[in-house]
Amino acid sequence: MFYSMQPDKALRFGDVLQGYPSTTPRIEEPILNGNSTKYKIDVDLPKFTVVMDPSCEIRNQTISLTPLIQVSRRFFDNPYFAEDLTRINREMEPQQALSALAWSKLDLKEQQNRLNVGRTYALLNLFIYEEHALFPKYTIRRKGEVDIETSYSMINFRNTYKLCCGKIESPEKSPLKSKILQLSPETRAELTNKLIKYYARIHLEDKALEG
Amino acid sequence: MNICERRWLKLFNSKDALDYDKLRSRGTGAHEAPANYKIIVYPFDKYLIKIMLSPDDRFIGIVEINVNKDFLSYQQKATPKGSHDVEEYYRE
Repeated sequence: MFYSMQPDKALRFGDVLQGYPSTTPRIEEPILNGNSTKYKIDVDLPKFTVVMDPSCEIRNQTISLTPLIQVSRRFFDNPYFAEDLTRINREMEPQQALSALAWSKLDLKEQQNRLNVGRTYALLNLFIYEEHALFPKYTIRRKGEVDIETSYSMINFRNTYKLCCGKIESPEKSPLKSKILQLSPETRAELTNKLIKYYARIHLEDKALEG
Repeated sequence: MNICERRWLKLFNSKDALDYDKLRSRGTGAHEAPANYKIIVYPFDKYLIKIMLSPDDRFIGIVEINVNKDFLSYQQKATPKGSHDVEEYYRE
């Protein structure tokens, strides 16, 4: 079960919320001279956002959120993903991370390198939210292929931002009317594990040190 | 009274013979660390070296050398495996 059948009367990590704007500051270059106004802030009101704070960090009128966005149409090029997009949330074999066609185009050395990596995650910055009647359906158009109607959604860890809301005092003392869905404990554990892996991977600069 | 009995009697009658704290600090394998010293652990290669220093950080001596069992490198601890590098195949 992807979503909890009995949501808590409190905000939880991974919850789907509505009614919270998202913001993205934009600059051309770092502002190093005091009072420059050379920046813009894009404000958007996504239909749904997802809580990215552990419960205990939801306090003092502050919460971390990320918008729930549409999935990439290219996920459906891989039959293993197309069958169940939430497979992207879990570890997989190297061949499952690519379509059979893409795998066959790799040379033998590259295939062997990938096989040596073994079972692990792909698309580390993404987490798929299973289809739900509360999510609006949208159409994915593919060249030379049948269109797909879906309500699968996803979050990109890189889109996380901070929001201040005067009504958010604690997980329990928050506007619970804005809470739409809660992940089941198993799914929340998957989200936690993937987020941990996202931050725990070896950084490129450290790979260089490995020699 | 033989010599052994006389020694026991002397020990029993002495003031500090039954001082529990002193007895404990002299237990097998215990290292006495008076308050005017401090002991720091210094990792060196695959060893952990316990060093005794004076309060003003002057070297006094080596107390103990152990093998560092936390032998994984940062890279090994960070993650045993990488991830499947497939992002380019799913870019819009």
